[in-house]
Amino acid sequence: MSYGLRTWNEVGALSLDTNTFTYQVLGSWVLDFSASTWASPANFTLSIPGYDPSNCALILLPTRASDVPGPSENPSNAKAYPFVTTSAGQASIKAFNPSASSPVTLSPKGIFRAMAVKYR
Amino acid sequence: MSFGFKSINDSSYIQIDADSPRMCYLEKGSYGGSNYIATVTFARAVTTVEPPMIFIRPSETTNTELYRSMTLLGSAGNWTGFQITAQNITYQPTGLWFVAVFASRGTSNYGMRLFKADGSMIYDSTASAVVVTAVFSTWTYLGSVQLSIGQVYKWTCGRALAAGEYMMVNDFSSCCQAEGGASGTCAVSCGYSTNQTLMWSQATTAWTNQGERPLLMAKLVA
Repeated sequence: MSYGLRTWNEVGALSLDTNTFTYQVLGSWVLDFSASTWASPANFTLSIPGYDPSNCALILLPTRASDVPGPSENPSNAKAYPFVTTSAGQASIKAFNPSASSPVTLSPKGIFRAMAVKYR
Repeated sequence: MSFGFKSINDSSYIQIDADSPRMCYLEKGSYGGSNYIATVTFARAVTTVEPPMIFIRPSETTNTELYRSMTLLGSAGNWTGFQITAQNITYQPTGLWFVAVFASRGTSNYGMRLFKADGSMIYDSTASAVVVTAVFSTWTYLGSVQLSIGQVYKWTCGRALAAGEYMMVNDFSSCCQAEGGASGTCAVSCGYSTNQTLMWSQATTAWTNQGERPLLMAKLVA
């Protein structure tokens, strides 16, 4: 290790070496789809300096228990994962799948924590 | 960053600072249900506003399990546990889990803690590090299969969990979109023998391209 941080616990065991964990959080955002509809879909474009699709990922975490179906609940597009694509330096998050054509398709309504992670 | 501490490693990755805190493991254990729902209660509630990330390692001896849903119990600031549900109600999901957050909590009298500008703890040296071992963003469509219950679409993302690895299931707790009033379930399974992780959607008509939904694999270090 040439750069970074190590810490040890009370029995002298190494508890952290910043070269053994291999990710960096490039950024995080809150994406609110709660008002999104077919007529007025919520779409987001995130500018993420340093984002490279070959070693980065954009992960959406539902933030509320009501954003996902419960154990015995039927699936619903209102609780679906938005459509994510990424490219160098940016990510696009759309409410609807680009193949969606029916105006009765429900929009995702979740509030998501989007997290861009760089890893090796 | 205008306040605090920053650590940069050999690869110039900024890993601990007040703006991008480290993913910290909080608790781990095993899960198993007496029916198709396995419920886990944390020993101490997770007090972050952000929902905790749930990582699971499904049992290797019952790897045909499909995990249809993952529901966090509690609410912002007081997450008390989670439930995992099997797609097939005759299965009993079993495996190992751990929970991680982008925050920390201190229990030791020895070591180092870091706090950010708002006073919340971002790092505690006694919390085990979560090591991200692989991330797969894109899924390859494999086709649809007829199961005992309905039509199921299937995607793969490369490989199964290796020894000691867990996968994060939060982003698979959201449904798969489908056209019109219908929707598809979202389920994941780890095929250890075929070395594939699979995503499944039970739907009448699913789109074969569901966009990027990353599969995050991680290990705990001692």
